[in-house]
Amino acid sequence: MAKVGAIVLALSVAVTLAPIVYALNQYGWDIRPLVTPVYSPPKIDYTMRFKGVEIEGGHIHIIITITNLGELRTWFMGVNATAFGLNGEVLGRVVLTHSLVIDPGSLGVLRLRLELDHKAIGALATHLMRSEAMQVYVKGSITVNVLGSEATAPLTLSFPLSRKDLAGGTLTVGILGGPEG
Amino acid sequence: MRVVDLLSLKGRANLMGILGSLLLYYVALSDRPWWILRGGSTGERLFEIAVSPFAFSAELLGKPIIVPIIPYLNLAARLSVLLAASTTLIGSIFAGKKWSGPLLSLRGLTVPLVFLLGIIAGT
Repeated sequence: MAKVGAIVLALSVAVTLAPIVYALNQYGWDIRPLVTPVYSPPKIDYTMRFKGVEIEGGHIHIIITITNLGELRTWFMGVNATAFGLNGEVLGRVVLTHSLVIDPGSLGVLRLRLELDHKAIGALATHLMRSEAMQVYVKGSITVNVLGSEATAPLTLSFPLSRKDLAGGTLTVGILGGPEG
Repeated sequence: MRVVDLLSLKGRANLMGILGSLLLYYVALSDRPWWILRGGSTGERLFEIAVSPFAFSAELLGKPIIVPIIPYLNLAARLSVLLAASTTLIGSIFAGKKWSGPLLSLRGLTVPLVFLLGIIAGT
């Protein structure tokens, strides 16, 4: 009876310890790599490309193609940015009109609405009367949601705004309205 | 006395022990998690941890987190429960034999109980 009990006990110790001893042997008796978690985070990456400008609903809309180069489905939730002119004058606020979900490796179109300041409309008109086009700089942040977690990334963009872009459209204040902008 | 006779097949076998050992086999051979923790919002998963004494998986942002020693610990737990189930089964089938006594024990419950207490303490 005692012999059976001793055999059972020895077997219990052996089956419990054997896998751990085997693991230690596999890792050269170094416990650190055996207990250190291994994790490679997924890549979150995207590129933006300016596509054009449209006038819609009295606002300038900046059209951007965005490619999700990362490994996760990304929800582009919002933009909080400011548009500046060449001399650093504030032209207005830039917001995202509609949120957009883009799968990894896919391409989507973001529409950013430039809400011009009343003061900026005059400056823009003056500038575009003197020259054919002006460079607009957008600086701010874009909010993305990945697997339910929100993150904010910097957004920097510049694009040319020409008289031709504004032709045919009517801006909210109306100074730049008409075919010649 | 009739119930005892019935459950022990008149002292020849231990029916409850046989059933208990079969249950232990089922538990030890199952890969289904006993405890799952999920995080995230808007229906999307930020992380998921699924554990049992015999299996472990953890994911963060859709990518697995691997702790190399855990599969070996799971294997140790599984083997010890399988051994306990086997000794209990043999001891229960040969309940009339003198040597069957040491084979019957509650060792098989140790791993699940320690695991459950660990989960309760951890949460």
